[in-house]
Amino acid sequence: MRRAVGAVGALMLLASPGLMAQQPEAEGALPKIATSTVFARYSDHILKIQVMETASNAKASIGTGFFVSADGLMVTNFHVIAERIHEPDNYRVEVVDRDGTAHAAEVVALDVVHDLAVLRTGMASPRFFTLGSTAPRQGDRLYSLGHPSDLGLSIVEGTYNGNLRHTLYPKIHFTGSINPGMSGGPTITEGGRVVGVNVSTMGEQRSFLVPEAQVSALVASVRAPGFTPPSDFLAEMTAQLTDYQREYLNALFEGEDKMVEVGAFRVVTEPAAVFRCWGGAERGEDLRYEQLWHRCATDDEVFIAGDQSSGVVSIVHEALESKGLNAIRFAKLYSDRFANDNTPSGDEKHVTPWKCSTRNVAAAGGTPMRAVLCLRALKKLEGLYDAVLKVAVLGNGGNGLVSTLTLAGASFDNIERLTARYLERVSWR
Amino acid sequence: MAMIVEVVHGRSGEVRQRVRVEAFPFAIGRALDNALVLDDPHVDARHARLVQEEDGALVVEDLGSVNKLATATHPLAERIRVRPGTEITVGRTTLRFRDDSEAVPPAIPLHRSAADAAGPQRWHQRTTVRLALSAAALALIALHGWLDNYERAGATQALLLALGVTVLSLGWAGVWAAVARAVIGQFRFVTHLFITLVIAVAAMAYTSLSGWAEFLLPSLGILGGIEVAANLALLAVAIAWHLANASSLSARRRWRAGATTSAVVLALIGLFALADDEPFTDVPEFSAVIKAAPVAIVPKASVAEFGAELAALKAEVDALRSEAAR
Repeated sequence: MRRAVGAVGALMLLASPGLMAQQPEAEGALPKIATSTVFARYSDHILKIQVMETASNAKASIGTGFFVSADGLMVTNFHVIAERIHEPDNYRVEVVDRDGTAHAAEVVALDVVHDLAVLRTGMASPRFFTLGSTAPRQGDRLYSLGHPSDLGLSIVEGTYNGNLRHTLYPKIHFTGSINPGMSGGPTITEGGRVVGVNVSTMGEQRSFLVPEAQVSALVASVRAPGFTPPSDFLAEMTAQLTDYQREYLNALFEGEDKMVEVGAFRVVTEPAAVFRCWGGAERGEDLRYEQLWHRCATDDEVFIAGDQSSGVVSIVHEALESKGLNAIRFAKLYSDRFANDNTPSGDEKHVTPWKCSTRNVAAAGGTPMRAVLCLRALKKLEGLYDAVLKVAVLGNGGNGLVSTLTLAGASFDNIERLTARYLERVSWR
Repeated sequence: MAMIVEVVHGRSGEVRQRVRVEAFPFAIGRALDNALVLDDPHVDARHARLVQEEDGALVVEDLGSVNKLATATHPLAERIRVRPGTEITVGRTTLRFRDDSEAVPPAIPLHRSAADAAGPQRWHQRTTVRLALSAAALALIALHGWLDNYERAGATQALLLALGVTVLSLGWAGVWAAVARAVIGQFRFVTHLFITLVIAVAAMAYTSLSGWAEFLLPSLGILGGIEVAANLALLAVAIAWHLANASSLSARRRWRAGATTSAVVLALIGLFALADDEPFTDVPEFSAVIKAAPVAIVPKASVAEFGAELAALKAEVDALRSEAAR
């Protein structure tokens, strides 16, 4: 016992000098200007945003915003103020100044695809960020500011790691701890240039920013002469999402599809460069079957509300192979795997229930399969739907393949075209 | 043919008095000089009489009594045509008319020896045959359990299922045997066990068949309603069949009891359905049944036909959407 404690103690002692040894190196990388100076210079450009629930008169969620003009225009994330857009009767937006006084603010523009919104606060804001392009190099030190978990304005140091390579829409990879509440805050250089807007995190310092170029474009549209805010923001969102999909979904399954072998089947994979695929297998002595899966999805997820996203396309193939199950028992396994629900979740506020249709289908000369098509409408965004097409290949004895195509927040035209192409062009062997 | 009038006890259905109609008019009332004397304070001294019309039809006529005559449909009747099987109410007394040539069921034997002497049983009525068939039913249930799972321990699970069914069936049959002993003086346990297992196998066969129908003809949708009807029908058959071996009720009354039980269960289901306000779910409901069938026998739609379903789904969800918007 004593020996074990001794060993742990030794480990901790060994570890500490290691850290100390790194100290001088880290110091060498420090910028010429202290973080406290950056905070002192720019903290008054940034305020807390709170979305108030009107009946209870208390904040439902918080975020961060920053001034981009002297007349009180403020930039934040769309997802910070999304409740106001979805339920304008139940929520209002307030900006809290440094004295703690709340000021009413109105949303005047949004870019749902890049998760940005512009607010008009009516406050005078002599201290604001001037937008303009910057060209940081990978490894450059950046400072992210915001209100993590309503703990007060904080500054976080981190490093610039360039744009993500596998997304259609640009996102900056920032290595630093961005936490909930900091959304909408700026990430800046020590010189006070905005590099991007804090938007999301995968935890453990893997954080993402909306590039400054998108912010500039949206702010410029607001400042353009003759600008008036959209009268119906939900219709505006629908229009933006529909445009976005035109580019995103049009090319899917159109040219030569990339094929891959999954168990006994030949299936489509990586339908576009922005898809990333993962695989895995479940086999074991205690199983009477082997299960392989191959899953492709994009990271270009567009936040619509709570647990609703758009622009999510995913393909999942699950191959099953019997290891000693007879045909009847295998059919039972196959049914259960086919029934397994892998559809996106949804809230009653935002989606209708699913409606499904099942048929046994065979393309001319093609493989017979059991196919189910499920559709639900997005309640607030007229003309956008979630769809799931699921097929199980029939007649392969002890082999089965369940393949699922999921389209979230897509227009009906896109759903019609993509599901038909998926059924017709994808060959199963 | 002669008519018999039975005086029936309202609650138990027990016959208290049976009188043959010897001559017309046949007087009914509380006074002691009536042909049928009823000890009921709600009956007049001269309440009614049974007469034969010119065409031979029998009619009960009210004689200006206080409470008149009643049938199930007419609470205040003055003339009621009666035939064998008709029930009328006089005051608070129920009278049932019967034909004396009506066939009655054979006597229920008191002992096994009496039963053997009562005549040769049909082959399927023999205890040994019934026991063997019960065992076969259990084996079938176990086999079904084994085929219906894909776990490594499938055989163990199948045996556990068969064991569970056995215990439940023994309990159920035991209750019916106790009823039978109390009512007709015989347990008939093996018969009740046999009935229980036959019904269980029928339910299993039905489930299997409906699975096949769902697989081959998915456009029929999920046959929830038919499923309920089929199970209620099986329940009615089970009750009627058990009663045949646990009471001396007529076939008509046995079927009525079975139907009543099913109706009560149906009403309960309806009540629960009404109470449940269908909570929102984001899990899709669809027919996922896949059977081990040669693909040649599976009716198949073309991709275009299947694609056309999408428009119908769109109409459905658009309707839900606008319903929610209101």
